[in-house]
Amino acid sequence: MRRRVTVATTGVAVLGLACLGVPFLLGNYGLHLLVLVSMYVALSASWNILTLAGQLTLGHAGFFGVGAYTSALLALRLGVPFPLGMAGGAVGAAILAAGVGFICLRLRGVYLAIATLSLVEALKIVVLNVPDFTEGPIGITLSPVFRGARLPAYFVMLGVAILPVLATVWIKRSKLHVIFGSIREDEGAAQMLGINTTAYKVFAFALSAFFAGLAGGFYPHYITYTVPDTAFNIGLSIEAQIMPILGGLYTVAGPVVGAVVLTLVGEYLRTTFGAANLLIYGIAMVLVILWFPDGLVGLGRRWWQARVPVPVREGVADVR
Amino acid sequence: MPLLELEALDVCYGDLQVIWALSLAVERGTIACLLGPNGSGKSTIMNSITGLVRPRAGAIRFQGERIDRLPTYEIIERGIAHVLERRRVFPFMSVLDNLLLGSFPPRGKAKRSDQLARVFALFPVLAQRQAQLAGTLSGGEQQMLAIGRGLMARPTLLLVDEPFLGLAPVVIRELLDIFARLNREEGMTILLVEQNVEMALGMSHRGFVLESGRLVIQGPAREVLESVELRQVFLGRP
Repeated sequence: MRRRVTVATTGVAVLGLACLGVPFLLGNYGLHLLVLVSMYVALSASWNILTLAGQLTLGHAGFFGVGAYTSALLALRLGVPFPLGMAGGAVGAAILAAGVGFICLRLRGVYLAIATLSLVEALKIVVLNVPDFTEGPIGITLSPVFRGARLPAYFVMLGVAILPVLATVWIKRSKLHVIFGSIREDEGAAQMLGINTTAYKVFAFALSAFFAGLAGGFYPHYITYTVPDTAFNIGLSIEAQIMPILGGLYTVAGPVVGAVVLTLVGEYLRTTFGAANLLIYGIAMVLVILWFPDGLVGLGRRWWQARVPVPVREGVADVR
Repeated sequence: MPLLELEALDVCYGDLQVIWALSLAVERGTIACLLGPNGSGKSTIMNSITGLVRPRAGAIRFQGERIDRLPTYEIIERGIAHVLERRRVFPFMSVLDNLLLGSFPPRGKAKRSDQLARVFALFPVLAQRQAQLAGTLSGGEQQMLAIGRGLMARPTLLLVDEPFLGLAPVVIRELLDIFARLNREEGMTILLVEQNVEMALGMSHRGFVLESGRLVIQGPAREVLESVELRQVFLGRP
């Protein structure tokens, strides 16, 4: 147990130093990649929060897009500075998600996924069809933050990425851990124990979307524009789901590992193999999910336990 | 005043009515059982008491107050624990976490450690296996866990849906003893649904027999057991 904790602490320390130090050594391209990695960590870690409460969703592109458009419109129409715009985007996404969560209360499993997926398309169509307010398909152009400097932009996105990870740690250490776990394992039984499952599910939706909206709120300021097709891009929903699954569901590190690996591998394949990159990406994904159903984190843990046999009392959610 | 009172209850699933004008009362400190063939509406009644199903008409009163419009978590907080059919423990959680979740309502939380000791005294096997995942317990142990989890909320009324389903006779005897002890030592009121008519009536003070959603027999357990109508409900009329 102690050994495991030490390993984890060392890992976090090394990672932390790398996150803070390495960017100073990188050029614009490397920094841009790190911004993308951080954005995907935010999406993947926030998606994982909903999964902790047993809610399988595909609406993250919608929450991201609402964050992006809220923040972009606040800047365009009211001249609101970007940190406030990001907060507005996050709150907007959280409010929307709370509503969606409440409406979808009775939907389980794949039906919830379908309903939230259609939310993304619905939002995109709405944004496309009120051009007087949203600028429609032309999109919104914004002036670059930090005069286009990538380093400070990276640190903002890093902060956005760390928040949902910290929230996951908080959930896992608080009583929410078992409450979310009970809803995930048997919602009816959880309800019978006097747990207000409605309230906790809506809370999980709002919390998760808050972080997705925060990432969305910064992204248009970073790339200086937003259009409906990139803001409400279903691909983002899919990535936000695949990354935690590949990294290791219900864990703290899983979504982070998944996002880092998939973003960098995806970029490598894109620049190396050209048009065939998605084919290779897809095959690799299928193989990994077939061979390591508990993800890269689970694989690492098994490897570590085989090497250093320590009696471990598994946490509630980690054992699936 | 009865502890639990159902008055002229109608319950429907969509357009299909499954409970017809049902009235029954469970007195404080007694064990009562709800009997009837498959599909006669036993579980539906249990589920309407804790708000999983909403009755179309009629009233449900607990300690004299109507509870049929309250959300489930408030009904539980008032002192009803419902041990669902087929145990429904959380398989990937430890036995201890399962039990602690049972004391989620404020009335259970205040005396959590006392109650945990009490449950471990009733079911020593749960104390031995508290760190184990609930899904790895045997069927009988899972049923004990489900009942223990219900008791963690310190209920006034314990609803148990088919507790003996698929269990070994020796485990059934143990559970029968536990129900009797809870009733005798703590004055707990218990309402249970059971398929084994003789056993259920043998452990109860009162029996209620349902047929196609209507209450057809009720009375002291011994009288119900000896009644001719009971045989007619289960074996058919001549």
